[in-house]
Amino acid sequence: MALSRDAYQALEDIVGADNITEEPAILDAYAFQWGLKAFTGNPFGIRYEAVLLPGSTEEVQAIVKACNKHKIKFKALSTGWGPMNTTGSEGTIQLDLRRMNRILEINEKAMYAVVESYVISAQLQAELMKRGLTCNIISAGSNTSALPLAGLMGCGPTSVSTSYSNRNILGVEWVLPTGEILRLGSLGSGAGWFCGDGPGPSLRGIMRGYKVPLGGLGVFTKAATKVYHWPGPEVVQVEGASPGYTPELPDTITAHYITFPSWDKFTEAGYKIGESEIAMACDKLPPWMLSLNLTEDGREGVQLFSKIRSQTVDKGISVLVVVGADSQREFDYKEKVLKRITSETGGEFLPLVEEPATRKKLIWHRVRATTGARETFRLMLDQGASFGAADSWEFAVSEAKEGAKLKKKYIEKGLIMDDGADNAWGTVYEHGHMGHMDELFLTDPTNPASRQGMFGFMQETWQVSLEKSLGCHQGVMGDMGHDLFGPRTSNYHLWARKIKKTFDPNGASESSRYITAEE
Amino acid sequence: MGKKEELTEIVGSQQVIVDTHRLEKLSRDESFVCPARPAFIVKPHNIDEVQQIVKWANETLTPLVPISSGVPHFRGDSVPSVDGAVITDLSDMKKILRVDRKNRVAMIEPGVTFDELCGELEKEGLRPNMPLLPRRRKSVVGSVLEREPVIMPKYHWDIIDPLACTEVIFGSGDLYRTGAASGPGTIEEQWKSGEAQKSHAEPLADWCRILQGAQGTMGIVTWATIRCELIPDLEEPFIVGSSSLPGLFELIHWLVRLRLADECLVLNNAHLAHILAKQWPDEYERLRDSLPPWMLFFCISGYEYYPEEKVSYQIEKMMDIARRAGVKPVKELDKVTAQKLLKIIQKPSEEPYWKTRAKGSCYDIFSLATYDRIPELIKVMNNTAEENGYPVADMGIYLQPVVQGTSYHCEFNLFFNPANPEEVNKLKNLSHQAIKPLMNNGAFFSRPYDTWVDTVYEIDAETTASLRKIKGILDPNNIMNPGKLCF
Repeated sequence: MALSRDAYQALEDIVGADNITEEPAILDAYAFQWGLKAFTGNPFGIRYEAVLLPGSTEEVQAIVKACNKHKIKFKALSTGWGPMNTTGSEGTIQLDLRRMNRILEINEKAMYAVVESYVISAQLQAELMKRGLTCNIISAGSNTSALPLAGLMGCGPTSVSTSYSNRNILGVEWVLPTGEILRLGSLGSGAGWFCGDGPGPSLRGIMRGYKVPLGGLGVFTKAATKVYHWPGPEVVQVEGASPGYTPELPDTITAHYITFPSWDKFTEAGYKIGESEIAMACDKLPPWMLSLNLTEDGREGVQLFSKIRSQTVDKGISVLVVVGADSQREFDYKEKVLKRITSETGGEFLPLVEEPATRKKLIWHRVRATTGARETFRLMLDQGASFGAADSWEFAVSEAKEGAKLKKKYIEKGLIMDDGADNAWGTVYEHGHMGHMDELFLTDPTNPASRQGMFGFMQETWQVSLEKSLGCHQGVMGDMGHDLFGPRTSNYHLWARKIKKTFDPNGASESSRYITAEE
Repeated sequence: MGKKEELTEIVGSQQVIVDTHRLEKLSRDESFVCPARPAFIVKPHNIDEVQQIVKWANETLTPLVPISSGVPHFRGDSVPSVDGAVITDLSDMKKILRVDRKNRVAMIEPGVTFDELCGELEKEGLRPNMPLLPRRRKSVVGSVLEREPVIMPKYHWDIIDPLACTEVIFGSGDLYRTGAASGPGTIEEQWKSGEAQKSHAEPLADWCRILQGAQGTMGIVTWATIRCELIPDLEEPFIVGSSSLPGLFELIHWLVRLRLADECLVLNNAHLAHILAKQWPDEYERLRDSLPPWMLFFCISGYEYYPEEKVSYQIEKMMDIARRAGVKPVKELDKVTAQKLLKIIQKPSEEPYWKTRAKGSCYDIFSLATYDRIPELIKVMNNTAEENGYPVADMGIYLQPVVQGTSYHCEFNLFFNPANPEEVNKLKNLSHQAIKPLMNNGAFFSRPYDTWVDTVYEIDAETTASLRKIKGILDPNNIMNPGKLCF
């Protein structure tokens, strides 16, 4: 269903002929998401009718209004990664926000930065480091949008000290599905970007949950995000090529990979490291991912995994801790505390990571979040994630335990790749106040049996979550998922539909990955 | 059957109050909103009764005004805006349902006061991140729902803190649990899986944020989980006196950025003198005149692991920053010791409530602003006070860094005698006149009350329209505290 010529012309008048296309090859490129293959057998999703590159909020607003007028659906994209970025509906246009890539403000003293949708985290972090600051970067990697409304969940390797997207948001500029511009909090009152809440109730409450609306509730064009202290140099000299980046860092920043003898000891250590506020990063980087992070190709990765397996997977559960300090005294204190906690909980340091060269690589991987894509696509397979609801650290660990237990069956059947079963990635949030864990798994999307294995595993984990109160998974998207979890979860899906219906009466904002208004 | 009998059927006769004196007391407060007498006060014991009351209110289209704190009330949000309202007083719902040391969280009903909560938390080595000197009968749930600023900004990661999850009866009469508490599973089942109701967001919305700042217009919260912090093993408090703010702001920036300080706030001399004075006016005036115009108070704390070592390197670092900022942290300032002040602010106010000791009442005007706008806001308030004959020297000022220092809660305390009509009138004018110039100079009224409301909402039409849509979803018959905010 091509756009009517009237509609196309109206859209072209807004962005100019150079910034709109309906060339099939380009449309196919936007419909391509490798991760889709595992679900449908085809990496190409539904083709968009046109792709537009708006350059400003005003253009986005005009496009959204035109969509409402011409009964066209729209879906906005920033850096876009994963099947959730495809449309589930025919007759949708794609708004690619890549021209909106400016850092609008860095307020060092008030500790926030204002970004447009296509500013990537690497870009923002580089500017922040010049001011002794850093930001939360989602675990998908530093090549993703820094807008705290772009990443699905919004947590990353440094979330122990830099929180996560939903709780870092301040002022927001939001083009509603009907085309009005809503400016949240202090921004709407003309006072600046420093607060996203009020006057009165906070509209952040309908803007997103712990997941973002995935393009299904209008377009977020700008947002302010909290930023944090960076104890390293203003400019980090980096040598080498991916994944072997070796940064020049002071001795007051270090990393350790620690394996604990049981889940209980691992959990206890997570709480203690959190409460003592010694960690810049504290994430459960499983040995499988560690191996792939440190090696040049998949074969080497598998070999390294085999090598460290006896020191890690076979011994217990591991965590990666990055410690950073502004002074030697502070550093010595933090290291002393970490050693004491490790000793109290029976942890063992992995010698490989105690080597300075390896250590430096890993620090950069965590601080810069350079490794997300590598773990995922390295082996030319597909990677999925299950579980992933956030609450207490203990709860997050329960998810990981359950995930490993279930996955073992599928590994034994040869349907899911052997990653040691415990391949949950997760992190402590906010110095121990909360935690997150998602169970990663690798399948072969070209193998029907492996795909079936993936579906079976996913289904089982969903069922277990419902039966054992393990939260609503991060992968629960669209009507089908929410209709399954909602009835056991305070009927959140019905209330979300009311938001969708009220704020998008024409259903213009394509929401098949979020939730539709259909009861 | 009349309304009283219907309510009696729900909660029992003892819990429906028709006493004229008590109704009269709740028909007004210390603010300048127009008085309106409620028809009854109803005091539910539990969520079932709350839900029945809300359903009854929808059937009879009776306005409900939820309250949970004891009098005096100060901001007009608990005074009915319409006649015939039923005050739903939750102060009998006083259970502390759970204190979880490991996850630093407490689950409490709305009638629990700070005094009661602090006692229970202490047994587990925990403490709440409290507002500055709340009154003794202030409900903790009421406080967090109003987004009251808290005194430890480093633990204030998000403006929603320390509120986590809630159980609520929406205005529609529907029961909902927000955040991780939404499920799957019952609360007990969630505890078994290790969940502690710490995450405030559900998968697709964050309804808790809609309940916050709503002044009871969206629903009635029947319990909430509150983030708590550890009680330190070692505390080293400091005071920094100064005649101007820039040096203090510089030090605060680093104290928060480097997570050096737990408690951290700024008071002017009048504010601190009001807190400390026991005899009026002599002791108050002596204190006010002897103290420097501004005092930054902060505390560096050590916890379980090597507290002395931690505090020691942090003090060294803090002193270095203070030197560069040109300010001098001390342990005692004009006979006010930092230790004494720490002990005072770590508890609720002694009775009588400190804001009422001097003249009987106090009117607060507060907003959020970035540090660089605050001097201008102070100038605006000083000018407006002078124009209205209010003695500037007696105006309290409290500056609280919030959300890890991204902005400040900027509060002006106007102490007054409510029995003096002339004084009341002057203050009414002052409060009315101050709001717009404050907004024009960078103040954001994230929590508008009283007569400020219209001025605040009239400049943000889209927010107003969106909030009304939400109100339509959660409270379609507009029975929850109608007439407040933009509803």
